[in-house]
Amino acid sequence: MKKQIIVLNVNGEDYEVAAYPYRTLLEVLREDMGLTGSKESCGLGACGACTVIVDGEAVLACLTLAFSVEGKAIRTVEGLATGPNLSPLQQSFIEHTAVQCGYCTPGMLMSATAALEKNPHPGEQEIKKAISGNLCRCTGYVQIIEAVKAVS
Amino acid sequence: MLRLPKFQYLSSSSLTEACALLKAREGHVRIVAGGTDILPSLKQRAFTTEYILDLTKVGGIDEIRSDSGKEITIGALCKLSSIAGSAVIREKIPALAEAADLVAATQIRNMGTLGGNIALDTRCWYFNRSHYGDDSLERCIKRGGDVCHAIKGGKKCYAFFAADTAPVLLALNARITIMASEGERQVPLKEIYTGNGKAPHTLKPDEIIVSVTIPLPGPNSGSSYRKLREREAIDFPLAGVAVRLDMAGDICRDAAVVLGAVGSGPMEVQEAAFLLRGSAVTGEVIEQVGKLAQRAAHPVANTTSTPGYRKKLAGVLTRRALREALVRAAS
Repeated sequence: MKKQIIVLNVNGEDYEVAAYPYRTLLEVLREDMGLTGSKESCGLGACGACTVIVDGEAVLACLTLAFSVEGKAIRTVEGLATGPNLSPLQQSFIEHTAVQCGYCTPGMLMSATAALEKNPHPGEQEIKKAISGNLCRCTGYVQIIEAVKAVS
Repeated sequence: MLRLPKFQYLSSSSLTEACALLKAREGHVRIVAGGTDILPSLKQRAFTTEYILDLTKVGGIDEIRSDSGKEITIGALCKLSSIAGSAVIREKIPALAEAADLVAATQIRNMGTLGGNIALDTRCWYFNRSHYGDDSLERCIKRGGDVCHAIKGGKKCYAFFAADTAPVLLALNARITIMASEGERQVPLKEIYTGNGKAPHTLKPDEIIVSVTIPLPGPNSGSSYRKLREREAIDFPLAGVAVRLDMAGDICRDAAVVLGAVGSGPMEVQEAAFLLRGSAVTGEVIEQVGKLAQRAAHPVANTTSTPGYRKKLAGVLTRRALREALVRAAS
């Protein structure tokens, strides 16, 4: 089987990638593009660690075929900061101790970013719903919710 | 990294061409839309496939149309999040918007489609297991073997029906439009469900779901969907109940009670409908209907919780859904 060249638009830039058709977006991001910010935890859609934003919506990269997202605007955690400046949400995560081991953090940031871009002033319930597909084994979620609240 | 098995990729922007591709490679191709059901099963090697046909490029079957004023048609590729957020669905058939909103979690609702939820594979923890499971326990009936691990000595598959939108659609008398190489057909949605855990739908290999059409309920109609699951997000239902009541004053003219997740297919509780039709929906009638629903539920020990609790909660959820449907019918 031959790889095919696909063009993926990631964090605002077009990248040509040679990939097999059975590769997920997560595999291509991490292993072909060196963008290891998005994590694999369950690989099955139950944890949210691989959450990225595609055309404005939070989706799971581990269940997205790379071939199916050509032509779409893909954003990963690497695209949140502007140069050396963290996004306000990222800064808030640090200030609110919302990061312990950090493994859920990229997914949490992407889910929360997608939600805040749709509604900049969500209430607590809406924040919880936005991150309800992201599991955290360290923090107990309180600090994460506070961090999102602080920028909403 | 949990890897997919190798496959070749096909896609088309035309539904007719997609059906032709399915026909040409019958037995060697599977369709993918949102990918949230088939990709995990492929990763777990429940099955493999030579070809994957990506339906996401097919145009025109992802919209919600309500122009006739008599019915709403939802395209099969419409995302669950779009259904949950649709103003017209929330106004006219709120139980469907709520059921769609209860599926899994935000990300999955942004990827998963209505067609995918309707055609969702049945589930069982012996089927939906890591491929390493084959090293310790032989493949079950649904995985191509000949034993059932959920029911010792069982000769059929008891995998349970896991979709949330289907019970609501059935309670609302939805019809489904299906495209095949020979052309389009439209049948009542209930006709596609077999109640067979291993082969839960009658959809043929070259068939693709095009849309679902729901007749708009009258002004004195109310519906509700209640879901039991362990956590408040992510999980599949352990029991699900959809109820519709069409009232004429205090008397119920017509009703439907459909159970999900407590059998291998969605289960219409006919006895409940019989009891409700022509009755005033009193507290006593609600109790009776709850008991009928509980009696009809047949969960087995193939997921978390216990069959006894899930069976009991089918009754409890039915009573709650009935009360809510009654309030909605009145308003």
